[in-house]
Amino acid sequence: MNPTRAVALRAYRAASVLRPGRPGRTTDRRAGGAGTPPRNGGSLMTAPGQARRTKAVRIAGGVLLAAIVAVPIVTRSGYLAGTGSQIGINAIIAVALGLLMGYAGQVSLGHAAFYGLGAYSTAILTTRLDAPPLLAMLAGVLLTALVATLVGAPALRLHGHYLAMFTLGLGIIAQVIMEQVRSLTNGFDGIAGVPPFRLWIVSFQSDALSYGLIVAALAGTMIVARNLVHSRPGRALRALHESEEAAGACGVDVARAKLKVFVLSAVLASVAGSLYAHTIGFVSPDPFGFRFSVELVVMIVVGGSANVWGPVAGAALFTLLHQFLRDAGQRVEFLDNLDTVLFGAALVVVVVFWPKGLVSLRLPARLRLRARRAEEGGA
Amino acid sequence: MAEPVLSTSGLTKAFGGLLALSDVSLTVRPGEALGIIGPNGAGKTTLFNVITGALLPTAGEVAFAGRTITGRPVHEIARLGIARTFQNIRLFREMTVIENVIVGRHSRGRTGFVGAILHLPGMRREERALRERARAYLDLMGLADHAERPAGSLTTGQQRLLEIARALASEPTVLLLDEPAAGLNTRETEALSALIRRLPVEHVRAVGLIEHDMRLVMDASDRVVVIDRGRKIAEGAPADVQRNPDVIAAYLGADFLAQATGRAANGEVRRS
Repeated sequence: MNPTRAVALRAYRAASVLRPGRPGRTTDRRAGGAGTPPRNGGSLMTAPGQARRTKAVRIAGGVLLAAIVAVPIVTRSGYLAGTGSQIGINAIIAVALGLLMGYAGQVSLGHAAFYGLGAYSTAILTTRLDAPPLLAMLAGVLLTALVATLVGAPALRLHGHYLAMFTLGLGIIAQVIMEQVRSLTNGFDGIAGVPPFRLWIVSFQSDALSYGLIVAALAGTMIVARNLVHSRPGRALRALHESEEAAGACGVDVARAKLKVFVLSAVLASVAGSLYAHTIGFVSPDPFGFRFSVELVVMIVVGGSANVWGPVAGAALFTLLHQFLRDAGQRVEFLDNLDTVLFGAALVVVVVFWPKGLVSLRLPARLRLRARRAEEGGA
Repeated sequence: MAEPVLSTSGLTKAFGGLLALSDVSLTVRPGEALGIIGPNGAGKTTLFNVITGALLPTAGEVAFAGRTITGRPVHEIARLGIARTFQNIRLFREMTVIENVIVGRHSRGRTGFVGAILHLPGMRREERALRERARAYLDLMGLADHAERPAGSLTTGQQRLLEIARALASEPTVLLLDEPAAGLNTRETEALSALIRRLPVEHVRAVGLIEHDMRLVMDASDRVVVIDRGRKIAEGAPADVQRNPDVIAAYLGADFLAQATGRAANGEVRRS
């Protein structure tokens, strides 16, 4: 089978695992009707999707998704593969951060630091020490886990949004190190010549293979996230999100659970960073700063964190918008920074009308209520 | 007399200058339901909070099953075998009814992050077992029909029962109920009373019950402790406590008592 079909098939299989309401899953399924809509601003990951979809629609959706995913490979377009790769990488981090925000209800304002930690670990170890890519990625993961534990442990013991502050500080420290410690990171000049990712003899050199690797990594991340939802620790996290007091009274070690999900989300971001380094071949401080940390949070709020797809949608939207405006901005100057304005506007609109994010898209709550009243009045 | 299951000695809790609890010592004996009554703001819920580890006492000790548990974290005390319900219902409203009970059984499971992510076969078995047991507790409370509904959609009475089911799911040694009848009508309260009477016999070793509904307390408790302004002011059989003038004064005020009985608190006869 040629590599194109292989990747497309893999993508389709991945998609079928991830579709909400997968048959055969008996745990946590809600029989009969959607539940009451959440009261908080849509930052809670719920059990399988509330919409009931017929099998045909599900299959159609899966095929469509596989087709979209396969486009960059089928068209052999380096540009599309590059865009797709960036979407995939952003989506991995977004899903990871979505776990933290959706479950622990905590915000990390420095997730770009973990992203950068993974990228720079890979870059430094592969270019200067000739380390095998997998080992470099693992080193990045371990280092990230350590840093996340050191930052998270004190912050998450406290009630309230101290993690946001701690991670804000962490992000800035990381940014300064990347920019100023030239002996380590080469400062603004960055590190070039990062080899493509390699698993023993298989080298993911071409655009298509690189892209395929990222799609696989994203699928893996989403499976991790989904498995976590339908599990004892996942329930514990959902419980503590609603009431830490009650969760504690049920025997949940709240601080530890929050720390674990924080470390997990950091580690996934680090993996994304390593993949970024291999894909682009060059790392510099620019993509790993405070700005990206904020953009990540916006991706999740806009896309929604109620299920695994929300952050992916948010990441895709953001990346495409960013790409489009950057290309257009080469012709018309002011468009270059317009994405910040547009994303900010999108954030406001979404929070007002669709607090659960775009993935929960139906009529805005107000219009829906009016429609229902009209129905009841007429019937 | 058998050794008490749960006991506090000299428990004191100060919030700055306010003494919420002052030198409270009580015991809960195996097989008994201990009622805890007192006017609003007396410190009853604070007492539960200190016992369960949600608050650290300023002074005093809490002992459970022969061990000192003062100062241990909430989840550890829960795992040791003390479960509770909350005065202002703290259910996981957006999780289903059965999921709430399954979380109650959290300490009986073992699957951690790694097991969950890898979806190990042991996890599936454990999930099924957890679910079955949870269903049994729902049956006990008469909530089995609502298993898959979001907990927030239940009536107040049902929510209170669900909280009890969730607390029972961990198979605790001691069950602490904080105003379980608040918001229930007469019929529901009677059913609750019957349930509470069964608990120390069938399900737990002892029950602690904070309540304002006097009939429920008198029906369901074996002994009663009265707390007023952070202090224990009376203790004994329900009927005795009911007649205790100090207790009546605490609830209704010394002046009212004087008016009602023609005597002031110090025994002087007054004319109304």
